[in-house]
Amino acid sequence: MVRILVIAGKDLQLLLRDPLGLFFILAFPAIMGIIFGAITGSSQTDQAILEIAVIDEDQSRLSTRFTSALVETGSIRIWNRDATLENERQASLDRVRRGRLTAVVILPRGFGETAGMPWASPVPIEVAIDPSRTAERGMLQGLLVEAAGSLVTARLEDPASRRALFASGRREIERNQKLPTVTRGLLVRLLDLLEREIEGELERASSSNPTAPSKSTFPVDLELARIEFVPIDRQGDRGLGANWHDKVRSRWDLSFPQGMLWGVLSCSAGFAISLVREQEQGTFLRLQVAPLSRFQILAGKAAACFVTVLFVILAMVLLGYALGMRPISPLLLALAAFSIAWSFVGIMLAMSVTGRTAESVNGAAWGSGVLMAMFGGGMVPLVFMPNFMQTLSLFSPVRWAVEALEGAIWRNYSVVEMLRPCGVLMGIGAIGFSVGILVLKRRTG
Amino acid sequence: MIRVDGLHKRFGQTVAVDDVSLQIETGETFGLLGPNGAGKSTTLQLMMGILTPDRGSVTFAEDRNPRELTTRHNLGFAPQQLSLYETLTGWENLRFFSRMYGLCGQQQQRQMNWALEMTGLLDRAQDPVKTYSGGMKRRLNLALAVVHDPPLILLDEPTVGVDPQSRHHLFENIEQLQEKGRTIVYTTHYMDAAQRLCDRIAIIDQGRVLALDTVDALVAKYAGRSQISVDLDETPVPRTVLPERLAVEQCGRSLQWETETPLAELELLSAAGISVRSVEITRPNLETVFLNLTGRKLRD
Ligand SMILES: Nc1ncnc2c1ncn2[C@@H]1O[C@H](COP(=O)(O)OP(=O)(O)OP(=O)(O)O)[C@@H](O)[C@H]1O
Ligand SMILES: [Mg+2]
Repeated sequence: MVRILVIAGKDLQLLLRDPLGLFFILAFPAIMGIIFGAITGSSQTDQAILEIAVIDEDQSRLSTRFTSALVETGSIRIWNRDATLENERQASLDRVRRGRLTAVVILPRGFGETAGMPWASPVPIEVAIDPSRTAERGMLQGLLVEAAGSLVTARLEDPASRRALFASGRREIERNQKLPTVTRGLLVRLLDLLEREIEGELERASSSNPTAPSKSTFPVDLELARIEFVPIDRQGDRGLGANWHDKVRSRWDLSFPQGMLWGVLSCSAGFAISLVREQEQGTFLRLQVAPLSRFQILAGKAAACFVTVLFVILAMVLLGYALGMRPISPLLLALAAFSIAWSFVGIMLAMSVTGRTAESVNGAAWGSGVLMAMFGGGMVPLVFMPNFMQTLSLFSPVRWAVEALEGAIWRNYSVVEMLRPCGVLMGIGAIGFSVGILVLKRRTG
Repeated sequence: MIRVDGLHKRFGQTVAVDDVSLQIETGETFGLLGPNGAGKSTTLQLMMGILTPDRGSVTFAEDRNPRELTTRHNLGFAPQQLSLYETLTGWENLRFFSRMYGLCGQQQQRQMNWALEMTGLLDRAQDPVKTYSGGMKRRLNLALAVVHDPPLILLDEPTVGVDPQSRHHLFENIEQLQEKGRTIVYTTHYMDAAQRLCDRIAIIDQGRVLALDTVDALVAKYAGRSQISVDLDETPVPRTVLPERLAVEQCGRSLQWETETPLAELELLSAAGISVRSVEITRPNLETVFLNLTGRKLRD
């Protein structure tokens, strides 16, 4: 055991004397994390507040109300709040084209007449959205429906429009000849009952609590629709992309796991290269002659790699913390880090037997590393990947590592949910160990 | 100390070691002499159990096999290729490898100092190995092999590629080890090194042992007679003037012949009144032994 630690210590010492290796293991991931975070942060996560323009061509009470409701969602900032209508449509569209605004929402003439009437077919709201903002598309859609829902409440609160609402309802029923006469009668009576009931409720509420804000006076919680934020370019609601922007709390949440994985890959590649380099330069032969088992020699190398991977993750977590990233579960993060370290030590051993010279292993290790990163979310975060890529990513260890890290940092995984990525990582590690050791055994007699 | 029986090893189509049998006695220095690719390094690695032979066996004293940890503790090896961590200092290399042999504390310090002192590296010990000269790296390579003071030392071409001074230093180091009674196995393709250091020598070529004996016995058995070549002062002498006993070949003003008694025959020349400008006597040596055994020179 002591000898394994001495070997590991020697390997760490060798690493410390290798500035380029240190750069790739420590500085490179930090730079990746910060740059990716800065890029995605400005366009994605920080803009949980969407900046849009609203063109109100209707200028009715309900269209104004709709605009306020949008602002009240807390997720939208309206760029042209106090602007005049002239030229606004063109100017806003131009701003979207130049990437300065996320979208333009146009409330056409006649919008207020039917808005908030559950039984009337609504005048469609036109939305022009920056095509690159695929992630925000679904979010905006949801917010629009939410604001439209609030108009139902608005209509009921105002006595005049309430009466108009019920009157139009009765007219609709009356006019519908397909309904049997009995049903029509019943429905009209039901509307009358509803109207009286609502009136009574409103009076009671306002007399018992006259100072309450008007918004909460309406006692019946009517909503036009309940919105799940489904990004519109995705089919269904599965995979790692689902619901991500409800959970991500800092721009670094996505970019730091990414950056860490680059550091981890650098570790694997670096130690794989140092292992063949020892074979090439003969120090491995010297160790084989010494009273050591092959297991001890490899375990020493593996231990050094393991410690370095843990150190990279820890350093990145601390850096992320300083920048504002707040991992939800430190304990699960530790679990993720250990599984990743185990897995990538196995991968390191497998990489080390891909060639007989440091150059060829260098090429193979980095080549496979970049592939793993590309399909595993090291370049494009998993949440932004289309479905087929997410399916391919299942074959990349990097993907499981990212999932494990994200599970602990922001996905709020339970222990059971963590078992899947961590289990896969452990399995990958075990396969790597077996492949590496078997080939090395065959090669060195 | 070591018995090697019928070792055989091939790499693909290449037969590297072909039916080699040796017995190395405690305290002797045993040479493996042969040209490049003869199979010397492979034989050493088979002896240490690094490679597994296709056939044959290696046995150490007390019937130990080379893979046992006790055997390895008693073994020091200087690989042909410099096997050093270039970015670590000489001191750090020594500390690491001596630790691998279980040395620690005071004993470790003492041994490291001894090894550095012997190889003349004490004042450069704190410098990174990559700043060493070729000769210094060779000496560190030797220091690493002996730092744990093993009774059996295997040296694979320990002086290859160094200047005469370092070479001399290394020879002296090996002689010191001999004085301490260590058993040494020494591979080389330099016959002078073999001749100077080795008690017994196995001449190997293409994986086979061609001859095995002491240097003197090998020379006596395979090297034949001394060669004499003489440059005369004057124009060619008539054949009749030359002593009859000499089987001389004459070519212009120079004479050449082979003999077992070179000095006595030169006497005959001067007795016949022939004046000589220069004389060269080539005593038979291992080079000649190799030439006679294989028809090739040791270093082609
Ligand atoms: N690992 C290997 N794979 C394939 N062939 C090998 C291997 N090691 C040695 N050989 C071959 O075996 C033969 C003997 O090699 P070896 O290194 O034992 O020779 P050597 O006597 O030490 O030569 P040198 O003086 O050049 O060191 C050579 O033909 C060599 O090409
Ligand atoms: Mg050799």
